[in-house]
Amino acid sequence: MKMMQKLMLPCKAATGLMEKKHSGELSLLEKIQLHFHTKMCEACRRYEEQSKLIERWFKSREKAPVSPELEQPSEELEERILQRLDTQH
Amino acid sequence: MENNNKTELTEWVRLYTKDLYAWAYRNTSDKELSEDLVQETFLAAAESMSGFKRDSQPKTWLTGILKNKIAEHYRKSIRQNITTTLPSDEIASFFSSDGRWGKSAMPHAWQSETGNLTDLPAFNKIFDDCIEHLPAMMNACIRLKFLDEKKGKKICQELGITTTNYWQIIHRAKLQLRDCLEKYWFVPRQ
Repeated sequence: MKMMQKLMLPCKAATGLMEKKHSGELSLLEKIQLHFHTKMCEACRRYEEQSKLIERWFKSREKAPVSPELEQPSEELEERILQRLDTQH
Repeated sequence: MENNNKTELTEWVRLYTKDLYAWAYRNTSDKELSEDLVQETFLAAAESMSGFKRDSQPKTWLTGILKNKIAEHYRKSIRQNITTTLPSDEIASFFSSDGRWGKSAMPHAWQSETGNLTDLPAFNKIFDDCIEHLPAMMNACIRLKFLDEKKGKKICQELGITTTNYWQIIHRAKLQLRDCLEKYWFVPRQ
């Protein structure tokens, strides 16, 4: 029974371990605990899937289109930079 | 600065300002800040033209400088917010006292198509807004994490954030982001 208690994490701790997992820093016990928890908890399985999606979206942002007016710098930015370069030297 | 360098740099300003700006914007979601960082990038480039290796692409070199400028910006942001945000426990609102999901925070299934959402400007706008609504400390840490995972962690360590705290901050940020996307993108579409 003690063994079971040790293995059964609350959702708060389990979702926390998922973040640690991304960089492969889980101990063996933590791996077992997380595996055990996600097997039994639907909400945390869902969280893990969605968390992975968020990671993927974050990483694909380099190519993600934003609205045209934000995509472009102000028209005078180039001139401003050139002026600053001139005054600096 | 030598005249040769100056001509070359002027050409780079003409060629790469737009792309560098777009890159900065995607990593900061802040128009004014992005413009400032691109300007600083060129000023720094002017100072270190001699360090530019001719066998690499100018755009790659400039993007590297810009990346450092962005990281530096978020390092400052973390340093300024380090005392105000760490001790509080926003995470409590997602879980009950025994650590189970709170009633209103439990993740729901996301019904709509989740595959290519980042092709949609409307989705990216909401995603951006959700990131920007994170408290400053979380915003800075999660931006750094995705800018450069190793560097992000290193910067946090240098600022005295323990590894455990770092994971907690990322965890909280993820919880809030997930919740925000569910509320503002997924639920209204069901």
